[in-house]
Amino acid sequence: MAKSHELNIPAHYNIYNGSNSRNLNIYFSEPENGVNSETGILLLIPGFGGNSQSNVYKKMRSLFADQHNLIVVQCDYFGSEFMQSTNRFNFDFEKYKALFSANLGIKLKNDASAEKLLEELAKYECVVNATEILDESVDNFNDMGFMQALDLLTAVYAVKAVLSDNQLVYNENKIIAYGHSHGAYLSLLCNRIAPNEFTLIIDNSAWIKPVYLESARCLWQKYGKMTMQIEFDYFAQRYHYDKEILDLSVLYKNFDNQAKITAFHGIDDNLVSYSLKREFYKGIKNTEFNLVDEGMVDNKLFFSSSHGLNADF
Amino acid sequence: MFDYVMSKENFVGHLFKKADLVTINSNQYIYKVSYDRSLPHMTVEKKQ
Repeated sequence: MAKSHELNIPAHYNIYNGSNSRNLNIYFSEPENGVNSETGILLLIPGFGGNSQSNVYKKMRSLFADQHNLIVVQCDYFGSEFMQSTNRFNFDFEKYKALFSANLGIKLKNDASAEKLLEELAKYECVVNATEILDESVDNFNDMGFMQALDLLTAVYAVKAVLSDNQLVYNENKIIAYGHSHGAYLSLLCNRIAPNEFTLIIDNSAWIKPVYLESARCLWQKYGKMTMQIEFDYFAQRYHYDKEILDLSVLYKNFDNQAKITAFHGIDDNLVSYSLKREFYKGIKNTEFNLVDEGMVDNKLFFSSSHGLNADF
Repeated sequence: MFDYVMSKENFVGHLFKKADLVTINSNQYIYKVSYDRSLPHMTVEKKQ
C-alpha cells in the first residue's frame, strides 16, 4: 500500500497585500515499491466542494500511486477552505418567523431561537434563503486565480525538493496535473505560469473563467422537507483586483503550449458551455477535446454527461 | 523513506530545470513568475 506523507512549509507571499505569514500543507503519497526512474508526479486539484481530506482524494492518492507508479501530490491551496459546503450561515429570522406564522397559523414563542424555527420549517416543503458566513479577507480568500495556482506549483516543487534531497531519481518527463471543475481551470492556469513543468494536463470540466468572480455560488441543501438555498458571496467579487487576466482565452492567446492537454467535457454541462470550451481548445496546440454525451455514460469511466461528469474513483 | 523536514532555508540552493522567466501582460499589470529560488515567485507591477 502506498505510503502517505505530509509537509508544512512557508507559502508564497500574498500578492495582494505583500504579507508573508502563511504556511502551506502538502500531502503526497509514494508507491509501495518506492520511487524509480519511471515514477512520475501527479498533482490532483479539487474544485468546489472537494479538498485534500475528502475520502475520494485520499483514495486517489493512495490508489494511483501504486496502480500508476506515481507520486501523487495535493495541497490545501489559498482560500480552498471557503470553497467547501456550508459551515455557518445567516438567514432572515424575523421574515421567516412571520411567514411561518402567517402561512401556517402557528405562533412560535417570542424567545424561539433560529434553530427552533429551522427545526419547525424542516417539517414543511419550503425554500429558505440564507447567506454563508465567509470569514474572508485580503489575507486569505478564495481568489480563484494566481495565488491558488502558485500554491499548487509550490506543492509540486516542494515534493521535487524532497525527492532530490533523498537522492531519488524520478521521471521528469511524466509530470501530470488532473483537475476537476475549478481544479481543472487551475491546472490550466498552472500550466500557463509554469510552461515547462507539466507534460500532461487532464481537464475535467474546467471553466474558461471562474463564474464566481462575478456571481454568487448557490448551494441547495435539504433539511427534512425544507430546502435551504445558501449563497456564497465571495470576497473576490467585491475586492478590486485584476480579474480580466483570469480568463483562459486571454491567457492562452498566442501561448506556445508545450503540455499535452486532454479535456473531457459533458454535453449537458449547464455551468460551462461545451461549445465555448471546444472553441477555446481549437486555437491551442497539443490539445484533445472529448465531448462526453449520454451514450458514453457507462458508470465505469463516465458517470454522467453533466458538469464534472460525476467523476468518482 | 522521507525523513526530511522542509524549512525555508532548505529551498535556497535547490536547482531544478528552470522555466524561463514567465511574463504575463494584462491591461493594467505585468506579472512575472521566476523560479530562481526553485519555488515559483511572482511579482506584480502596475503599468505606468
